[in-house]
Amino acid sequence: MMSKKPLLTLNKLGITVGEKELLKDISFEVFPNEIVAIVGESGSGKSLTALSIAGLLPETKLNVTSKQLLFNNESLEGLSESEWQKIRGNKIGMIFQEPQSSLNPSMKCGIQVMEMLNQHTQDNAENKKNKVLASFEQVYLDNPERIFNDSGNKLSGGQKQRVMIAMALICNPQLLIADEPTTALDVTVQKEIISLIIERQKANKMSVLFISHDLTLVSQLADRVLVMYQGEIVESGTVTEVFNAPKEAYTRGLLHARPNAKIRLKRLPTIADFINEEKQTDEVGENVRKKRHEEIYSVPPLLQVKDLKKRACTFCWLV
Amino acid sequence: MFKKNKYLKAVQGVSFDLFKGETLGLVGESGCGKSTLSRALIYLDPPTEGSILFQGKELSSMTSEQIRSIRKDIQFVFQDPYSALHPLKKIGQAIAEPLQVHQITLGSKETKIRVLELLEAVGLAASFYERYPHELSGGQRQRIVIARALATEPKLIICDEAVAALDISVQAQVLNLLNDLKEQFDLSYLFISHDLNVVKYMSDKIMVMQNGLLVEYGEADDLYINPKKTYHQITHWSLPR
Repeated sequence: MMSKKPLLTLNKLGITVGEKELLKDISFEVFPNEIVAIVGESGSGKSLTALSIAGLLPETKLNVTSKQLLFNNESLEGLSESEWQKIRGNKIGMIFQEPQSSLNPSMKCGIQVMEMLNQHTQDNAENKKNKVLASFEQVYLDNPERIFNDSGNKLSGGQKQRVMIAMALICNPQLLIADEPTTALDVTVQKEIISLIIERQKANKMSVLFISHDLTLVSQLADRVLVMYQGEIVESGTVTEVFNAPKEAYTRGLLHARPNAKIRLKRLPTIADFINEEKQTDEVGENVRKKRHEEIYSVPPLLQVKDLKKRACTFCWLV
Repeated sequence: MFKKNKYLKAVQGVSFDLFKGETLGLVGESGCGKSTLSRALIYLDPPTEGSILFQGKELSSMTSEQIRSIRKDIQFVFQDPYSALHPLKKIGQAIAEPLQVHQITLGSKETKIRVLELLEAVGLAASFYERYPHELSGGQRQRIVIARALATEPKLIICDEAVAALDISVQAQVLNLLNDLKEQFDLSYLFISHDLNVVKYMSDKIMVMQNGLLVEYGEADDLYINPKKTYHQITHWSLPR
């Protein structure tokens, strides 16, 4: 599925602030119609990498030591802010972690999405509105007309993120940068948003740069994975390569630090344990657990709750 | 518009027992009533019906003075350590606050000693005493919040999505810390989370809540092996890990 020409090439990106190296020698390519994921802990430089691709770095404070950024074989070096604005939203779409802070709470959602069209197209108002409504339908927002007229604060977190996706995709970008798009959402909503992103990726044949610390999620949707640690890409490969046979201790740590539903270890391994190759293998035996339970449950309870009811009203916020 | 049927019950008839030394897990989607329940338990939001007994004593018949002392015994640790700490207060002050609120009378010298003990208990150096929240990482802040919760020597700590905002590796550290503290200070936990793997790891028993009702309540491992209700179809026992 990969054609030979990469859509995006990032070559030897390095960023320092003062003495500190934030990013070291970051190089990778994103091919058309491909989902590439960047995983790592917070502070590993994932978002910094994404921001620099979108031209959103405050370069006055950060010192970009070397950088070559090609998009469709054209250099994005030294573009002015207005030139960037023609690319951002139009060719590169973005969604972020917190839909709460990305949407203006006091402005109609439809108008906010329409701003994208105002910026990048010259349609008449009616066509633009129809396009926005169609985009709301594509992201499965019920009753698009109502959402169009609702202000941001009336929507749930999931709905807001759907509006953000509609906004990011309305100009049919070739690349979508999704920076932790589901971290702030509920598990069930998370699932829906992920399948929506996959569906739109297939329909539009765009590339996605997906940034997340959630490895399970990444394993379900990405084609290739880049693992970042302390500002460097420590490992990269296809999802199967990285998840089934991780080469780096750090990657193994990331994969196993989450509690496993099948084994109950006495202590959870941390990434430091993996890097120092200290294994946590002591399990809590079934009998030990049973015996402890017999002890705990043999005395009267500390807290007893009986048939507790609590009424909430739909107008509670008025009170 | 304000007719009776406009009211919906956020928690509709929940019964459970929590024992000393137990970690009771509570899972459910947001909006299912988890947080309403936990607020009702300490009478922040008194329940409309039903009874709560803490150490055998009924809460509804207590004076406000007695309720205050219950709040000393039941402490909270919330999801977001960023908003739980006052940005202009030093860490030492933040941890000492509950000691002052609950009038656990200590001189300033003893207070400091107590705070330093608490810092040590959560694995932080004494130098954190003079620092401000913005100088700390998310994991360190959550440790501070835990230290503060321990200040009043509670019997029960309600952990409401306590590790949800933390990175995976930090999550593991904080979960290990919570288990250590439980043993060290004879604590019980009501452990609320949406992450089923985490809840299963931490808990003795688990309650699954949906639309204000307990749809499941049982031993954590049993529940994992024999889930009976629809909730598991919605959530993630079944996801490949």
